[in-house]
Amino acid sequence: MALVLDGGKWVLQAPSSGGSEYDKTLTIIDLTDGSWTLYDPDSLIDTTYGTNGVTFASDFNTIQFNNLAVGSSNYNWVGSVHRAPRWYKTLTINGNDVAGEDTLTGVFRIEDDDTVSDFNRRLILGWSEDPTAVAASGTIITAASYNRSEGSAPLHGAFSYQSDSSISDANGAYVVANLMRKKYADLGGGYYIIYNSSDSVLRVGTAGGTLGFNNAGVTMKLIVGVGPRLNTSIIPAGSLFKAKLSYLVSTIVTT
Amino acid sequence: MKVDYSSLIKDVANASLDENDDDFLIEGYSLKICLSYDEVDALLAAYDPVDPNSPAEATSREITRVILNALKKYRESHP
Repeated sequence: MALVLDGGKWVLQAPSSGGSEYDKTLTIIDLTDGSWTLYDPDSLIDTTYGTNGVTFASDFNTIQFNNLAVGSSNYNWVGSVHRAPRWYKTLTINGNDVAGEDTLTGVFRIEDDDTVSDFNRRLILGWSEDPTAVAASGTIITAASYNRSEGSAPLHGAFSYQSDSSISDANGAYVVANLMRKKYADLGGGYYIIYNSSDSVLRVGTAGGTLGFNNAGVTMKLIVGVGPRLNTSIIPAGSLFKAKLSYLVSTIVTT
Repeated sequence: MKVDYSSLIKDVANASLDENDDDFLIEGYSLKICLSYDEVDALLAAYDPVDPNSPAEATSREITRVILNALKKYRESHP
C-alpha cells in the first residue's frame, strides 16, 4: 500500500501492478468539497444557495440558478462561445498533474434526478484544457453529456469541442461515456452506453472527435459545465439541476 | 459512395455547427456517408455553388438514392 496525494487529499492506495485492473470504482464528485472552483462569467448560478450555488447529499449535487430571461447562444455549450457556468479543478492522478501531452483515458458517468431538475437544460462532465476560457477554441473540452427539454425524453451522449451527439430514450437513467485524448493528435470524442434504472443497457452511441485544436503546455482540468439546452432556452429564477456525477481517469504510457 | 449502414441510428440529437459556423440541433436520424478521393474530386469539379442548376440532375439523384435506400431499409426494419 502507498499513501498518495490525489486531488488535494491523501489516500491509501494499492500499488499499481500495470496491465488491467478489475472492478475499478468511480470517484463521486462533490462540488461542495472545497476542491472545485466555480467560473461563471455572467452570474447564472445563485451563489447565495449552498456552497457557491450547490448543495450535496446522497451523492447528488443540486445546483440553483439565477434568472435567465432571454436565451442566448453564449450559454449553450454547443457552439463556439462558452460563457455558461462551470466548476473545475486540476486533474491530478496519484499526486501527478495531468499534462496536455499525456495520453488520457476516462470514464464519466452522469445521472440526472428529474424529480428536482426543472428547466430545459444541458450538462457536460469531462476534461478541459482551460476551463476559464470563454470560447471553444480555448476551453477544449471532451465530455460525457446530458440534455433534456422538460416534457420530453432525456438525451445522453458525449460532447467534443463545440458539438454534442446524444440519444433520446424515455427510460434512460444514466450514461457512461468512455473518452480519450492526447495533445494535437486526438481531441476525444467518445463512446457511450445509456442505461435504464435497472442497470440494463438501452442504447449505445458515439460522438466524433475534433482534431488539432489543442493548446501547448497546459495542465488538464476536470470540468462540470451546466446551462440551458438550446440557444433559446430560458432559466426561471430558482431553477434547480440535480445530478450524480462520477469519473475514473488514467494516463497511459504508449511507448 | 456508400452509406455506412451499420452506423445508421435514430433518436439521435446532433447539436453542432455547420460549414458556415451556423449552429444547429437536429433530432432524428444520423448516418455516415463514405466517399473516395476520386469521387470527391469529380463531384467538386462539376459543382458550381452559385449555379442553381448545379449539381447535375444525375449527380443529385445518385447521392440522394444512396441516402434514401439506406433510410428506407432502416425504416422498414426498425418500424
